[in-house]
Amino acid sequence: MLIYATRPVLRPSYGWNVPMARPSEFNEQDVVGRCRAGEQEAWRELVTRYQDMVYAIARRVAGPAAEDAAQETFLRVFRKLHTYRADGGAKFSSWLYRVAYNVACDVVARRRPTGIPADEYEQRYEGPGPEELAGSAEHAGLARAALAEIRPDYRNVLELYYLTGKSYEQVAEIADLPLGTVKSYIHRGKKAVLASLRRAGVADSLAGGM
Amino acid sequence: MMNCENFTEILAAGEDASAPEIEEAREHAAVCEECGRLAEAFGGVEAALADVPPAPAAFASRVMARLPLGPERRPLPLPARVDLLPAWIFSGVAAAVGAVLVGVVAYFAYTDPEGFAAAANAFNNMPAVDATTFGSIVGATAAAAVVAGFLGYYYLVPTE
Repeated sequence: MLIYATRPVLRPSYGWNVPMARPSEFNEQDVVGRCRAGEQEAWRELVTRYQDMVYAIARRVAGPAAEDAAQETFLRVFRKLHTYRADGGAKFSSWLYRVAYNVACDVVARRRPTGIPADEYEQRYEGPGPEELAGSAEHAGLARAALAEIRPDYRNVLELYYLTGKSYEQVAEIADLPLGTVKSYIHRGKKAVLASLRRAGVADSLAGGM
Repeated sequence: MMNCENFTEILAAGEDASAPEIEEAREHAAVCEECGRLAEAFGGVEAALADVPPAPAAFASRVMARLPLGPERRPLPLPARVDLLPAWIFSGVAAAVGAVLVGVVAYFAYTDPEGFAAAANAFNNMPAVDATTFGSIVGATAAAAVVAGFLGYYYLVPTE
């Protein structure tokens, strides 16, 4: 002990008082590699890690069909994982969210009754229901009311924008749209939300309620 | 001078607005009550939209059940490892415990041969057991020692 105290260089690399490094950190590329090898535990790690975000995208885009869309996303990732290339510069998470977004759009399209044109159906789909938005009930209600009035393509992009922590680049990757289009959709979407808030006079009622 | 319409523009621009614009908007919100409340309500809406609630319970398990993978290997429900001792200390302690046991018996036999002989006779005079039972007892004892050694090593010695 005396030696340890006076000459710390002599400490063993591990032992009484040196905590062991634990491999607890999530390494995206490592887990993806192990998933490719068909390792069951790696798949569980991957699903657990990304389920919240995938489910959130599914909720926002596919509404009540979120569970189907989210499950279908991971099944599609299972089948298509060999097409993901890390060296292309794309983060795995962006690639995964893009799959989630596409699957959710497909699910919405599949549920469209035959005989109704896609555009018209999208206009009818009224955006997220009460259970699809969290936050304070008051603000979730405002958000829902405002979103219901926005064009579906603006709405989807706007929702992705907030889900991704306000990253134009990631939204462009996920929705497969040019960056300029994404920026313009988001700006118009926000203005539509603001206009809706002003029109409804909710700013007044909110303040009155507090 | 900023009006309510400009204010909405700046609010919609968010982080893309310039610092002077944001400052001007702040000044406007301080004097225009309606715009101040609008900014507040919009902030709340943005927070609601940014919220990522957790996926439903057991969602991961439902997905795993649908993935065409082999049966899942679950780790044994063992208590967490202690990882306290380096291997050389563990081996040294195990060897020392064995040596002490042998030493105690030898010391007893050396200092009190008659007592040791009496104890050995008492052991020999135990109710007779057949060879199979005796073998089982010896085997179980040896297996218990091996398992104890293995568990001790597993729990106490860290792996690199």
